[in-house]
Amino acid sequence: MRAGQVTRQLYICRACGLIYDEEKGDPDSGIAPGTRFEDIPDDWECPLCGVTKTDFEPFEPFEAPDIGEVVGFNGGVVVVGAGIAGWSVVRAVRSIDATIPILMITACSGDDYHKPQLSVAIGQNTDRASLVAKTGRDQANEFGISLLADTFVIGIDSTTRRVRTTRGTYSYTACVIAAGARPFRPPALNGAALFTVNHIDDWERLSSTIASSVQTRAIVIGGGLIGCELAENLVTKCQSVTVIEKQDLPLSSLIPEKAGQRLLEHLNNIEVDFLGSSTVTHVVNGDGCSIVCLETGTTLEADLIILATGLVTDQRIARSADLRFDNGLIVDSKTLETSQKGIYALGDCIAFEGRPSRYVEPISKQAKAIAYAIAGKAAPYEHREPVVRVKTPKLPITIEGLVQPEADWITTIDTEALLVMEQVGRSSKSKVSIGR
Amino acid sequence: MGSFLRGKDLSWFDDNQVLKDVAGIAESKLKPLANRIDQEGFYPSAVMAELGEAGAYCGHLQRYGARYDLAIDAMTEISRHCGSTGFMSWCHDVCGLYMEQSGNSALIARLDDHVRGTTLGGTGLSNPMKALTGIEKMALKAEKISSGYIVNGSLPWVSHIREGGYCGVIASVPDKADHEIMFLLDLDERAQLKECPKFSGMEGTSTWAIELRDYFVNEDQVIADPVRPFIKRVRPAFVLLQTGFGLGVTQGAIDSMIEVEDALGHVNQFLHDRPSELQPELDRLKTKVHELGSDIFSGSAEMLVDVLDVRAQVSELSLRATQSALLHQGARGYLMSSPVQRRIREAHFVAIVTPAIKHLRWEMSKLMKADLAA
Repeated sequence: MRAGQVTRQLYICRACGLIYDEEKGDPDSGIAPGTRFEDIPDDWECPLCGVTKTDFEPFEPFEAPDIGEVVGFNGGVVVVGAGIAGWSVVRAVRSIDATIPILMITACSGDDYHKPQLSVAIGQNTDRASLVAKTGRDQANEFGISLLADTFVIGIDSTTRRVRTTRGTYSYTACVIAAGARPFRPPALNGAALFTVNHIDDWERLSSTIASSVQTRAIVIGGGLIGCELAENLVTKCQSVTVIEKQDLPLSSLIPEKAGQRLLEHLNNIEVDFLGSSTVTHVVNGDGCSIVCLETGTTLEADLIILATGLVTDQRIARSADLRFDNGLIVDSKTLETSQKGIYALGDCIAFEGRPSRYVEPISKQAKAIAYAIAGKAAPYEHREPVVRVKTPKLPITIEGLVQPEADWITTIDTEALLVMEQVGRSSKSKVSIGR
Repeated sequence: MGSFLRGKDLSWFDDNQVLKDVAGIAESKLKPLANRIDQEGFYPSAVMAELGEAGAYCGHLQRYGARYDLAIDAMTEISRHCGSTGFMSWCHDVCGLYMEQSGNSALIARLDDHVRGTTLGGTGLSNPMKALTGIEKMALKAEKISSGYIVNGSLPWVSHIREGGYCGVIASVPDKADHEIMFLLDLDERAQLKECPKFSGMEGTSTWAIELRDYFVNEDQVIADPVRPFIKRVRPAFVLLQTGFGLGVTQGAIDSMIEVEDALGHVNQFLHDRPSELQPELDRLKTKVHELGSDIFSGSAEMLVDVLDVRAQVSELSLRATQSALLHQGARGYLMSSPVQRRIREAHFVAIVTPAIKHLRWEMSKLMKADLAA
């Protein structure tokens, strides 16, 4: 604005929301167009609700975000969630039906990215744009679907087949829940400032925090798969990395003790401090940092705390639609249909025999089974334990089959560089290989 | 039943009796007045006193056993015949809620007259509820003085008030950030009531703009100071109670569809949203509302989302049901004297009164986002 330039100002009635526009005035009350608000007589009343001048204030418009629009969706496939699982379903449905209306509802922007990359990307000089294969909007256009971004599903009514969202209620003929799982936060850590790496938005916050600080002391709570991956990738970026784990060895739920020892040595070699048999009781604010307090009374200073204590599936949707649930949505093992007709689920939010399957590998097969089931055709899913590859690049770890805690392990290869161990359980075989 | 009875009318503890009496008064006294209330702005204070005497406004209060299902069902029976009175019943119920929850003995002493409908009081929390969640700014401002507060400002469109009545309101205290006070505003000569423009419905709800100039608030009037913890506690009850209004309007609409079934069923079969579809939906919602009412002070964020969700569903259902009732009744429902067209305007009010559908969604989105970040 140039100095001395007089601009038109708007005033809003705090009582009823009427806007006084100086350019238009209020001719019905004898206020000529062009009358400055300050020149209006004090006994003037709001033409709508009758309050006086003192109840007006300068009007500053709110900014409404651009959230896309739902073009003519009135029944069809509703997909809840826009992670790998959500987009896989869209891809699978579109590959057999080019026209069926699809509405995708997501709490985020719907940007399509490969989540397993996130823990590795922490150690690289990369940004969001290079991780995102396509923005949600572009991907939606490509598949010819409606995308409701920044929208939460509040509930599903399986009787009337309607999904209730924070942007309205939509009817569906088939609904697919691909809502994922969320980081499990131990109740003791409620309110503490913690980072997680379960979504690209979380990743972005974490990586920009790391980038903006000079010397970062990072603490990772949880020494499972994600904790170990993060630790290895964080050491290149941080001054120190400490992993705090309840069990005595890292990755102890997935690999035998001997392999755990080897992983522990590796972590020590790359200068990750691994604190086994340790439980965090609480986190307090310190002087410019956080202080992590352990059960033993030990305290650790941290500039950055990352939570890697596993995932849990939110139960709101299951509760609202009366879906059977056991650590995840219970689904038909072939069609992935939940306990309610017309509602399917896949990915991180489901569980087979009470065991959640939180790996990417089975998702495309699950998506295909669902797409076919929706189309009234059959492409039955067969659940197999996926091969798990731990992304610790300096010491690759592969786990095949379902590890059974009670079965014995046999060492088949044991060199300095490679350890392979196998386990034969009652019903299945599993194999762990660590190193090259 | 125990000590909380304190000499209250025993018959009020029989849910069935209360509902029967309330339904009877609503049908015999209110229904014939509904058109006058809607068209002429007649304020049915005498009928409301009768309803109060029958126990319509007591159920939700702790001293009567916190029977939210009863209070809501009573409101449903009233709204079934007159949405305006149903809405005022909500205003009256939440005003009672504020008085009781204030813990202020001076206000609690006034509660007996209030629940009996001997005195009438509403709620001016539309603006503050929106202000506290960030939708708009607080309209009343308070200034602390040694013996109380001085309040200035205007509140538009406060229902179920009149000279000699009262209502719960909130004012911000600008000296301190995030500080507000809530008090029972007695509408005596110090408060100016100004006429509102004519609305498309709800004309009989005695709705006024209130103008306060240096209104002194003494400690006998204080409901809460500070306000935020109080609002956090009562908000689920505030919102849940409102469902009685929408459920009743919906039930009335279904009644009107059934009423013409013999005469028009042969053509109405071609319509959507028939009573056979709507009644089970309404019953399911009612069950959910009752369920939530049984533990409304639990304080969890998840429960609050459930309450907002059910309130939004009631709005959506009442819009569908009233619209469909008019299609079912055809021209006879389009007569200005017909309750069927009136209910469409009532349902629109169910959907826009604070919290409106859009406010509910705004708030649910906020709560879900916060939950995600936690």
